[in-house]
Amino acid sequence: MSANVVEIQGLDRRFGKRTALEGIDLAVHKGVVLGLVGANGAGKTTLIKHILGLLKAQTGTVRVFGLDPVRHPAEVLGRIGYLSENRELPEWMRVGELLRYTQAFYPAWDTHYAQDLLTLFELNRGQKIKTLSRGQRAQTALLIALAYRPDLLLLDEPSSGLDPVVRRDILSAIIRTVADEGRTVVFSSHLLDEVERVADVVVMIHEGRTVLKDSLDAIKATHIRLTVRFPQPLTSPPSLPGVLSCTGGPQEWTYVCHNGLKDLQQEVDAVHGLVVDSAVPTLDEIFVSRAKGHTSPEGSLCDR
Amino acid sequence: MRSIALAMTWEYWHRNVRLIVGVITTGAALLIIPFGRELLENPILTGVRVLHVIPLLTAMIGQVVVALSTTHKDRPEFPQELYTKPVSTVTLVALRMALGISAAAGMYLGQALLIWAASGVALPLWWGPLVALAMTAAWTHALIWSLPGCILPQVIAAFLAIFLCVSYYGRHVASLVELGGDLSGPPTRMARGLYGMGMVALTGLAYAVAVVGVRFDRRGDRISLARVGAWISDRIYAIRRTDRPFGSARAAQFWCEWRQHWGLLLPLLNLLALSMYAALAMGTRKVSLEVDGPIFLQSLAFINIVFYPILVAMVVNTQERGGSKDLFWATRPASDNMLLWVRLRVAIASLLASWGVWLAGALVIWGLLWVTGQRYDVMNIVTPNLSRLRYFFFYAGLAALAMWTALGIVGSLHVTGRKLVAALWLTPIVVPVAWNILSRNYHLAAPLVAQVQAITPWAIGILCLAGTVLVYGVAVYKGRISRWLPYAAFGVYLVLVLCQVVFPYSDKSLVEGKPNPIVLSLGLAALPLVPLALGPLAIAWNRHR
Amino acid sequence: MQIHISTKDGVPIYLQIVNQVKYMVASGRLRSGEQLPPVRRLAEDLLINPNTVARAYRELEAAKVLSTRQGAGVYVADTASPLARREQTRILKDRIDLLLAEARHMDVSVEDLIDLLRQRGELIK
Repeated sequence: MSANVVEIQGLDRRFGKRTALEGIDLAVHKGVVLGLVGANGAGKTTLIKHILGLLKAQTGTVRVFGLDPVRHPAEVLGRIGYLSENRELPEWMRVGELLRYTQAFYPAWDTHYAQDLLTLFELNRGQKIKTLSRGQRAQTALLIALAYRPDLLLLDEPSSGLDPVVRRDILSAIIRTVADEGRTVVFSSHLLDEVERVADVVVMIHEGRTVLKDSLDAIKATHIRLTVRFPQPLTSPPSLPGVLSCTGGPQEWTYVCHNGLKDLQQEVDAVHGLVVDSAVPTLDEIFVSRAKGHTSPEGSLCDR
Repeated sequence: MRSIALAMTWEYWHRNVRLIVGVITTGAALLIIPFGRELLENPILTGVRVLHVIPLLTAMIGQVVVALSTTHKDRPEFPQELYTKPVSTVTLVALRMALGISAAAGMYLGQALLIWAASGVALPLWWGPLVALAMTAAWTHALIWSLPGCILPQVIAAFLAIFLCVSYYGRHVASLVELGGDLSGPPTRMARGLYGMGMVALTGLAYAVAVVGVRFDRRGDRISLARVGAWISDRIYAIRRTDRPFGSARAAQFWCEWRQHWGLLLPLLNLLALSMYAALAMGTRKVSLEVDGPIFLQSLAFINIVFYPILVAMVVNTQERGGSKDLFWATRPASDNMLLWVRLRVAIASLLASWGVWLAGALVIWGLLWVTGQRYDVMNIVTPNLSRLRYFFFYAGLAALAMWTALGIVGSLHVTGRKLVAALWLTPIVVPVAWNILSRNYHLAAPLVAQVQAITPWAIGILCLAGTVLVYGVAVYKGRISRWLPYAAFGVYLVLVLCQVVFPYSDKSLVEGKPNPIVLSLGLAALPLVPLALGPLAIAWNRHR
Repeated sequence: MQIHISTKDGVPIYLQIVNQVKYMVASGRLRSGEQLPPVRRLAEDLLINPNTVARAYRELEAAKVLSTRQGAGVYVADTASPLARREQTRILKDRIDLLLAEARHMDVSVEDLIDLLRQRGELIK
């Protein structure tokens, strides 16, 4: 318990009739980089808001640093660095004023580090936040989340809407945080390439439920992309155990499966197929397969 | 060209139809509901003359709103996307202005129609009101388009234009002719006609001004007031900027809330009022320090007491209503109560500063009176009829308590971050007014009215007491306030009740003739304690959904 | 140090680093005793998790390609040469396998291939 920075058990959340989260169980260990992956509206931001104490748990419990963030907002938020999806900041403040204001809330604020980040991001202290470009806003918001070296860094879509240069800056600032011992990072992202590079653990949320929760290595090890060539053209190819999706032409079909090659090889032989190519799928492929394809039990037909 | 006009017209009406219909119904309602019976039973001519100004003004204000509601909320100006159309500026301005004028006319005609349908009273239509509307619409549009970028100067200019146009119309053009009476001869009729043509000429002038203004805008030569404002703001920042860290999180939050909610606004308004009064008193003979001074101070004091807490409380939370700043504010590492009390402290500080300015003004006026040989009794400046110091302190205390209560309760309602809940503060105003209108104009049965009048003090008293107990109960149950607070609050409550008992009864003259139902006073004495529990509940409800 | 990471490979990132470092040592681009960038900096440059870099460095150390000096950083091990030779041979074998597959596909015999090799070898000299 004490090694878990975030512990969520049995969390449900409904907004009126719509179910945003269902049966979420999550334990984030200290020092882990957790990538939260899911489609728009899948529930990532709702989950993050629960961690921040902005939403009360309707059922289940949420504990951050062992505390309930709703009852102890000051203690919990003081150790979290949060980057919101829309980079909410007071528009009327100037960058320097924002820094000065934020510093007062965090005793661990490192002025030199803040200045280094300011120089690195090429931000101007006198500039009004209202007039910042999108990338500069993200950099400013990230700056005030990093400068006091929080124990937990919570990032909602840190790279969204940013050009590659700014994205690189932000990502490397985040990695530098990870390199400091003991810092935990939870970030949600659509850019699965980044998640693959940076995350230790990946949690995939689909329609409010966790469909995948494992270390990145384990995920890569338990999924496979198989290209099978059949003797005759088929309109609907046979499904394989653990299949997530299958695409392709009439004679050659590519499957993405949650399974190992050995088990699949037997099945493929049984349906007179020939394994032409097998590879580890990218996280992107796994995600798309899970989101779009049917995670149906064996026996049901594959879809195109 | 014709298709562009059609497209523009369609787009204009399509976008604004809801607003226009809203203005029409609101204006008609404003007239029908309060005066309904009177209109039906007794349409006095002068009454109608006054009456027709209300829909007129509503239409004028409505068209200002429509003019300001262009595509981009923070760039109220001539719609920029029209500049790329292959139409000359002259035609473009003519089209838009015609649309604006027709909107205004439409709003007035709509109201007239509704009023006629509801009460059979026919408001004057041709030609006075419509030409007045055209002139006002033309000028407000011209001014708005010539002052692009910043909404405040536009609004001020627009209202100034409305004021001047309505004055012109009222003094020179509006007359009994339009309302069924007879003009007393050709010279007056001719004079009216001349003034009427003057209005048309002014409308043409407005069009010319608009064309010039829009031409500059289209070329990009605009003096963006927003840019001027930003330049000034940058200069001020360059002088005042400091990197000295705040002493505490509370100090930082205070600074943030003060700046965000314009803490200086109210004191400055007080200062403005006093300065204007001083200028008037010194400049003209019409204002007499001796007579008007005290009256002015009293009215300013009254405004400070009654309206400012409400005004401040509304300012306190206008930024938070579902806006994106919610997320920033809610993720500050500060307890709910800290955020609440800092915000209230800003409101209180602002209010105290306003009172400070008022006091300074009062002292100056009293000093001047003293110096010019009028040993004015200082108490008379502030509180007429009460020359005894004791009552001054009593009333001052009462006023302070009332301000705190209003501020606390209204502020708490706004801090919930939910518009409907915040609007509840209107209930103590809307309910009595509605009741008043109902009982007066719709002739409710007298015994019913008497019964309601008798029950009201009891009902209010019980409501206040029950509400207070409920709020405290819920707050303790949810852990938003500490357990000993209800006891402390009860102690204060007893003190307040004691004060109520002691003061009025020490001077019989105050008590006689006034019904004093105990329940009402007990209930009212509980109100100042409500914010202490309501506030923490409200802010927790806002922050943790 | 030029390392390229691709997430499309299917090969785990740490393994890509391991392979590329081995290759560079084998082909002489990294000399014995040369210092490698610290974990943190390489992670920042490549935009990957520092743990991954640390893991790669650990593997390379276990394979005796790299050695850590206390507090001084990570260096290419001195005893890299026999490994280099083995690594070089492995690399060449991979290339040859590819070449052979191509040749078979084009219906060229192994003898013809060897002749071709000799020809090209003469030219390069």
